[in-house]
Amino acid sequence: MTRSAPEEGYVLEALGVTKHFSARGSVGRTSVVRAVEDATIRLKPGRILALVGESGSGKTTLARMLARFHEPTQGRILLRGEPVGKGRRARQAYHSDVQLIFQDPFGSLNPLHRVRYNLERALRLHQPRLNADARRQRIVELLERVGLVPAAEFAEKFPHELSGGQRQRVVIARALAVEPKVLLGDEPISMLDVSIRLEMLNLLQRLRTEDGLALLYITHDIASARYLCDEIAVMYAGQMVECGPKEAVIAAPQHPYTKLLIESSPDPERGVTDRDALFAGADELGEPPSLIDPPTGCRFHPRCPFAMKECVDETPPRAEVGEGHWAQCWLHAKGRAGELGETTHAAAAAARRGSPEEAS
Amino acid sequence: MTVQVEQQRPASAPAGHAVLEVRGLAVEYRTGHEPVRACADVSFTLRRGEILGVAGESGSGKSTLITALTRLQRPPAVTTAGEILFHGRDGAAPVDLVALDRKQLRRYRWTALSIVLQSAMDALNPVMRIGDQFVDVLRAHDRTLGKREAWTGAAELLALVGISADRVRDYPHQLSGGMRQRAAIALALACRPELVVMDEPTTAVDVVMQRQILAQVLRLRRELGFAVVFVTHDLSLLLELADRIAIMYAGRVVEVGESSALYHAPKHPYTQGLRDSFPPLHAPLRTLRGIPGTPPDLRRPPTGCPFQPRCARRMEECAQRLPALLSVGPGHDAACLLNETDDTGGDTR
Repeated sequence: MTRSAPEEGYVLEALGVTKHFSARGSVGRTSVVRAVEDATIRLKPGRILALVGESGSGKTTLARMLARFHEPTQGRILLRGEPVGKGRRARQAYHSDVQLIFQDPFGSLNPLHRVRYNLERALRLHQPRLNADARRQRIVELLERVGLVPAAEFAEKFPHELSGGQRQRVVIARALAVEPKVLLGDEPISMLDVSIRLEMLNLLQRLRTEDGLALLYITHDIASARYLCDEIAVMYAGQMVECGPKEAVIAAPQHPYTKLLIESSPDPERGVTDRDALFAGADELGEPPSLIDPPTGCRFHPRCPFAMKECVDETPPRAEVGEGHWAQCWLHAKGRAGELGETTHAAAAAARRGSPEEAS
Repeated sequence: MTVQVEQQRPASAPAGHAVLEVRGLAVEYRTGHEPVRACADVSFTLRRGEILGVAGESGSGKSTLITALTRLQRPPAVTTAGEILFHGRDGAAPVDLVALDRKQLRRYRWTALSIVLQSAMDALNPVMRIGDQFVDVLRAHDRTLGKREAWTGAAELLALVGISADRVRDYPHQLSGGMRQRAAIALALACRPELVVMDEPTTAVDVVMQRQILAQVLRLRRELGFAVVFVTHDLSLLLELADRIAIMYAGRVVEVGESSALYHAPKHPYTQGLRDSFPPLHAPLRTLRGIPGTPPDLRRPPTGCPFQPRCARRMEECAQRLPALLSVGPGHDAACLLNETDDTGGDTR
């Protein structure tokens, strides 16, 4: 189902990747966790793709496959259209191009060493030609790049002397030290204080415009995804359910799960006049399924207020719903997509509960 | 510039009597050479059945406030000043929770005042069945309750938060994170308290579960009539949930008012900065700046207004004088010298 010919202009692609983990159960039985199933993601220089979904939806596993922490069970990862090699040397070359930024800036810097050392290590590994003077110069540039000035002063600090926001900047500076083409950010701002999150988003935005970095921004916060990115991809229970230009996806989601996610996000602009109406029907929204024994057909069908017989039996086909916008949902194949715009998830679910004979 | 405060949702802002009055509360951490003031001069009133949101960043003192309110603090935290007056349903004279000893406090825990902690994993005993934990609480507070009745009670409480009766015999690890958090809420309601303190109850769950939990809190509040102190770093969530919001910064309440007033006409530059730190979900996008700088180190607080080093509208006086929390409108207080001059400015929406 995925087009296999490498297209022009993509720097990093994951084509139809699947990741299964084996987990040992309490009675010693092993079971398979289907963490990611047939996901395709393509990153372009100077573009930001947001990957949104709940925890357990597979977004971190997908990022880790892109960062080569996990080998895909199936599917391919292409860097500039080339399959990536195995082996130590190939991995190091790969990481000179692709860097991952973790969620937790408190755990991702070596606490025993100064900022200088943390950055220098990345430079030594990935830029072995630089001599000591050049490295020192580069460290100053990197710290200035991420707004840690005076850089000479910050270079001598230990991680514990820095605030969360400052630490995350050091983490970003370290990622930039290797001059990557792709940054993978796994919830890079979620552990930071609200007032400094925007500075971080603005910094990532600048790296994209000035350096032409390709960025994958993983988050559960749709509002920040909209602020930063160009396109949004939505994952549910290990599968990608929708992908498209951000405004199209947010204004008119074409998958019932995307719709639920957006309607659940706080939006003070909605103008609260009647809170009971605002939250009506929202006290039963269901939960994502187990990935050991996921639902048949569309994995969202047990929670979906629009579900039909097909949804239980068969994986939905991908429907092209607009320029660069697709959704994997049976509503499109059955000519019922219009219903998505006419109601809310809560109202549709309430209506369905009212007429149980329709539920399959 | 004139400021129009919208008169909104009169129905949900109950005019009832106070259930909790906090006056001049101060909490210090006594470690190292000098005590650190984590809460200073915190005062607010919580009305019966009201949801008061408390928003602040890390180090703002919001968690310290919670442990002080519920008397769950441990050394080195010490309440050094102030009172927490609890007005019981029975109309008896208010009690100062700060003055009670452990034994006296036991009369108020669960039945008058309960707490929902941020992480339900820590709140529930991992080696006890969910039901047993409910039965424990129910029978500790009603000695006449039989075992069978208590188990029925447990199932009813879980049903309140949409957990089916057959999960009563489950252990915490058999429930999802969201279910555990809802169970913790149900447990806090077991003895029908008048006040429930919630410490970031939705931070560890996803947006959809968050929405679900908030909807349940609102429904249960309507059905059971308890008041809520809801602490979080997420102001955007409070704007939808709370009747009133208190904004904390560096251990102080810098602004308190009705949610809509705080959103449309904040009177403290920090509140305004915090509000503008949330990118909109639907409104047109513009570049947002957040708030430059970082929250202060409470071991070395800045002079004058604690926000002045980060404030874009700082005046000379701000570094010299600590602004008092003064009325800036009906039920709306702010601690900023800008409000004491004629300039009522600020950006209104």
